Amino acid sequence: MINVISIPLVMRKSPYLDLPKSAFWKTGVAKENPYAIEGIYKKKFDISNNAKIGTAGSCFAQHISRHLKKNGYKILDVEPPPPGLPDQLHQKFGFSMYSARYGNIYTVRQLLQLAQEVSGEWNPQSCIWEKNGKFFDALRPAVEPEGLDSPEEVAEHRQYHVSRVKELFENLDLFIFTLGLTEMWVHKESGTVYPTAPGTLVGEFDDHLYEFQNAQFPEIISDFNLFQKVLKNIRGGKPFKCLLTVSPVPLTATASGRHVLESTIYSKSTLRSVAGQLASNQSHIDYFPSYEIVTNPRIHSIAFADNLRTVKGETVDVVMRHFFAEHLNLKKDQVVSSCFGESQEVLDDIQCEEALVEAFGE
Amino acid sequence: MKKILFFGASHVAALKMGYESYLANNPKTFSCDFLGITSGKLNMIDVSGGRLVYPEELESFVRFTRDDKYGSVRLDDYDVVVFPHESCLLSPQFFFRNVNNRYLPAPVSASLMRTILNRHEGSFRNQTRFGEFDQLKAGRVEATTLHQYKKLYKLIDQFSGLFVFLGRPLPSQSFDDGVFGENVLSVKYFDELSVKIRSFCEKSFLRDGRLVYALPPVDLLTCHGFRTKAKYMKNCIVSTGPSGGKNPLWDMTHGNSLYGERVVSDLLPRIEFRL
Repeated sequence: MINVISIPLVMRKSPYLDLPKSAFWKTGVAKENPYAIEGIYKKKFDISNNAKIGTAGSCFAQHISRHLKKNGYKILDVEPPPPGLPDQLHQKFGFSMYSARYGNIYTVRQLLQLAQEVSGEWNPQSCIWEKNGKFFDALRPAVEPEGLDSPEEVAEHRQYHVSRVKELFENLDLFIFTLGLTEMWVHKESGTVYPTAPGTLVGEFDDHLYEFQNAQFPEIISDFNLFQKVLKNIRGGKPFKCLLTVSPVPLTATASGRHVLESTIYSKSTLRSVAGQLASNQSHIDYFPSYEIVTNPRIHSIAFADNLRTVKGETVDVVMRHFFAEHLNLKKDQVVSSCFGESQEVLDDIQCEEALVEAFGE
Repeated sequence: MKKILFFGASHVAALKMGYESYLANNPKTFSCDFLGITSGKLNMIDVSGGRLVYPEELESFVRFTRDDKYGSVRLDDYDVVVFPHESCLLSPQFFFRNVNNRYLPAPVSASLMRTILNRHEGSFRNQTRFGEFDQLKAGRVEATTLHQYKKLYKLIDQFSGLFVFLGRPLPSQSFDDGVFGENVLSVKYFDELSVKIRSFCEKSFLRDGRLVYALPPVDLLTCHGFRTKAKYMKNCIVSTGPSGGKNPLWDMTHGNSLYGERVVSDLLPRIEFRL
């Protein structure tokens, strides 16, 4: 015998009935203009023109930093380039990419360790690598592409860098961070995390010294919360805001033993979940869905360059239009000083050490 | 006898006067020509077919020690071109930063210095003026403009000899007596940095490529290398203006013949060694 539940007429209203079109796949995605998605981002807080913004993260964060600068936001730069260095060579030496010359910070653990180093709680180990008689800061190997003359010089540069990052952390009002990777290479004994695998750009790989780790959701959440605690201590308790994004750039290679596509989806899904949870539970953290805008199935096939990794310039513009539409209160086609029209060569210039892994592929 | 062309704007004058004084006490080892063009007109020169060309209407703004004023100079007549125009971008004070009102010396690598030395573009894209009083006072003398750079690099491309960037004089000590944000530690770092940069410039001058920097001799400077001693600046002791208007006593940006003589006496032996 079948039991039929009788629902009174007044309760028959579906909870989906009054939802906006953004709540439905058909109207929110399938039939929505992917270049101006209604309701994809609702800012949690205002970013004033005077807010001092610090930026860091994986290579996609460079786009955000550049667009914010062009739109008049006050992006801090505590390690500006020397006056004699032409603009087009800034990136080569890690200048003008982020608020400090730390290069790409792909993982939250890297960010945490940098903050701990700044606060004096922790010292990285095995962080000076050698190649052809030149010495490199293993924690930011790309900022001096030809290396330095001695380990002492690397230490001197690092000491200066850390002092500048301290200045940054003390003074920023808003920290924009792009989560990039879960996979990382770690010094076994000390836990020091590197942005590149030893032996990729510089250094030598030794499996007795280094190991591969793939961070999981709970530890990333824990790392980010610990980072915030350290940051707050550095600032003497002064509050700050965070804006998180997830890089849509797929992994160049995986060392997980799984297929690179599966690893990419794992990595991005985990980071997206981390960002979502942090933003949901903490009122001073906002999440901007650049990842979703780029990977939207409506434009996914044309959002990337031929290598299916590099995000096209016009796609970055679409992403930033959504951001500025909310923060500058402009229509999505009215954003000022857009970088639209930048050549792919310029965009290819975005520093991504990870891309160098390709050179060690097949 | 090897030939040197000193080419630039007003700062050529001190070198010319200095060279004449230098010759009074030293044997002539080079044939030196001095070509100075009023800085506002420097943009009007062109470089074409291995010649530095200036149009006829510039005639009254050009000062050239050679008699044959025919509106152009054949670059390969010279073994060396010395360019005393822009501020020297490897001057150590450029690496002494004001970040949030705290002045710190930023460390600099040899490859960064080499890149600056070999750059192929002016560094201040949007700045069309240089040598402004406030800039000088702050110790931030502007560099050559991009427009000038395009021509400068045409010159370098079409000239096969040694090209020496010789910075214009650092501002007079009359502007300010101290290193900015002076404290014991930052001055110590800065002194070490200065030694490193000077050593790099010296080494590259003696053995590296075609483009070299010559920093002013340390005995011309004060305040840890931030300023030029007042007695080497035009005819001045104390002043309130950048170029002193019509009164050379007040000129705080141009070197005098003493300055020129010291620079030339430092430079020529090194060029001789290099050639």
